[in-house]
Amino acid sequence: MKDEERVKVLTPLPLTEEQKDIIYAKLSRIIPRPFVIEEEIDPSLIGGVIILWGELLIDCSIKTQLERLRERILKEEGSPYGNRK
Amino acid sequence: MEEVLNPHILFWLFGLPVTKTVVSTWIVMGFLVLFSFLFTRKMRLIPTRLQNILELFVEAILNLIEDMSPGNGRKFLPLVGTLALFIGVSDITGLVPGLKSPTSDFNTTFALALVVFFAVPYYGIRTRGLKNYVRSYFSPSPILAPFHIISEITRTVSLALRLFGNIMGEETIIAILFLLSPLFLPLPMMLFSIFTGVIQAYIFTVLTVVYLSAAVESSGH
Amino acid sequence: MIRIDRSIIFQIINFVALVLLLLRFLFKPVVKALDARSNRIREELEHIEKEKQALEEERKKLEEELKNLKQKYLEMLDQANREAQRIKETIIQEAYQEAEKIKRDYERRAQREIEQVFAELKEDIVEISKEIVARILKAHLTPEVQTQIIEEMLEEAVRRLEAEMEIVHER
Repeated sequence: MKDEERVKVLTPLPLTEEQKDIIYAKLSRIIPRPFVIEEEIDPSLIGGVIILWGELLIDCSIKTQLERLRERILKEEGSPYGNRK
Repeated sequence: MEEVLNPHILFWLFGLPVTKTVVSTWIVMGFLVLFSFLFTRKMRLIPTRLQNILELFVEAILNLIEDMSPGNGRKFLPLVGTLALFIGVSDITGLVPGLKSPTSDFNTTFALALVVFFAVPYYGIRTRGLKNYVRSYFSPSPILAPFHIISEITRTVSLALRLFGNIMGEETIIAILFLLSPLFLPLPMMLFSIFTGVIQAYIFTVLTVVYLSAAVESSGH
Repeated sequence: MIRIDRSIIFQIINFVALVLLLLRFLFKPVVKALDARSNRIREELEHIEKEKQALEEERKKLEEELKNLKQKYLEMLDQANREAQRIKETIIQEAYQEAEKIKRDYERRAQREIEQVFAELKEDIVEISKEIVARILKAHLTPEVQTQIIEEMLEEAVRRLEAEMEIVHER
C-alpha cells in the first residue's frame, strides 16, 4: 500500500460514496496506477472540488469559477456610462 | 556908364589885357575850385550836409542831361556842370561890392558861347564819327547845309548876347538905382537879380544841353 | 557899345581851365562817390537778397526735415500699432490655447477620476455580487448539486487533460 498514489480532494461538503466513485472513475482515466483519495473539507470552495495530485491541480470549484467570472467582468472595458475622452 | 560896358584894362599879361572882368573871373574860379577841393577832399559814403548839397547839384545836372539826352549824362557833365556853376556864381558876384560880374562883360559870355560852339562838333564827332557828323549838315537836303551853319553861328551869338544883356542890364539898373537912392531902392532889385541870375544860368545850361544832344543824336531819328 | 577885345582869349582859357579844374576837383570825386554809394547799395541789396535766399533755402530744408520727421513718426506709430496689434493677437491666442490646454487637462483629469471612480465602483459591485452569489450558492449547495457539479466539471477537466496527454504521447 506504500506505493499507492495519494490524491488530495478539497471539498466544501463531505463526499458521499457516490461522489467518491465518480471522482475515482474519472481520475483513473488519467492516473494509470491505483490511488487513494484523501478527503479535506474546505467550506470556502462553495461548491465543486479541487483535486491535488503531486504537481497536478484540477480546480473544479465554484469559488474559482466565481473568481474567474469576477476577473472577466472587471477586465471588460468601459463603464455603464460609456467611455469619455 | 562907359565903365560898366567896357571895363578898363588893369594890366597886361603875356601881351593880353587883364581887365576887371578877368580878375573877377579868377576870383570866381578860385572860389569854385577851392570850395570843390575842400568838400571833395574827404568824400564819405554817408555824406555830410555840404557834401550832400554838392552831390544834389551834380545829380540835378546829371538828371537834367539824362532827361533831354539819355545816356550822355556822364559825358556832358563836366562842361554843362561847369557852365551852370560858373554862370550862376558869376551872376551873383556882381552883388558883391567892388567886384564885377564876369557875365556882364560880353567878352566872357561870348567866350562861353564859343566854347559851346566848338563843343558841339567835338562831341558830335566823338560820338558819331566825322563822316556821320558832317553828313548831318546835309540832311535832309544838301541845300540846307549853309542854313545849318548859319543857325549854329546865330544861336551862339544869341546865347552870348542873351546872358550878357540880362546880367549887364541888371547891373546897369542897380548902378542907376544906387545913384538915385543909395540904400532902399537897389535892395529889392538886388534880390531880384539873384533870381534872374539863376534863371539865366539855367537857360544857358539847358540850351547848351539841347545843342549837344542834337549833335550826338543820329539824324533822321 | 559892345566891344570885343583880346580879353576874350583870357576868358576862353579861363573857362576851359575851370572845366578841367572842376572836373578834377568836383565832378570826378562826386561821381565816384555817387557810384560808390549806388554800388554799395546794390551790393547790400544783393547781399540781403542772397541772405534772404539762404534763409529761404534753410526754411525749405527745415520744412522738408519736419515733413520727413512727421512721416517717420507716423510710420513708427503705425508700425508700433501693428506690432501692438500683433502682440495682442498673439497673447490672446496664447491665452486661448493655454485656457484650452488647461480645460483639456482638467477634462482629462476629471475623466480619469470619473473612470477611476467607476472602475472602483464596478469592482465593488462585482465583489459584492460575487459575495452574494457565493452565499446564495453556499446556502443552496446540496449533495445532489455537489454530485452534479463534480460530474460535469471534473468530466470536462479530465477530458482536457486526456487530450493534452494524447498530444504528449503522439510526439
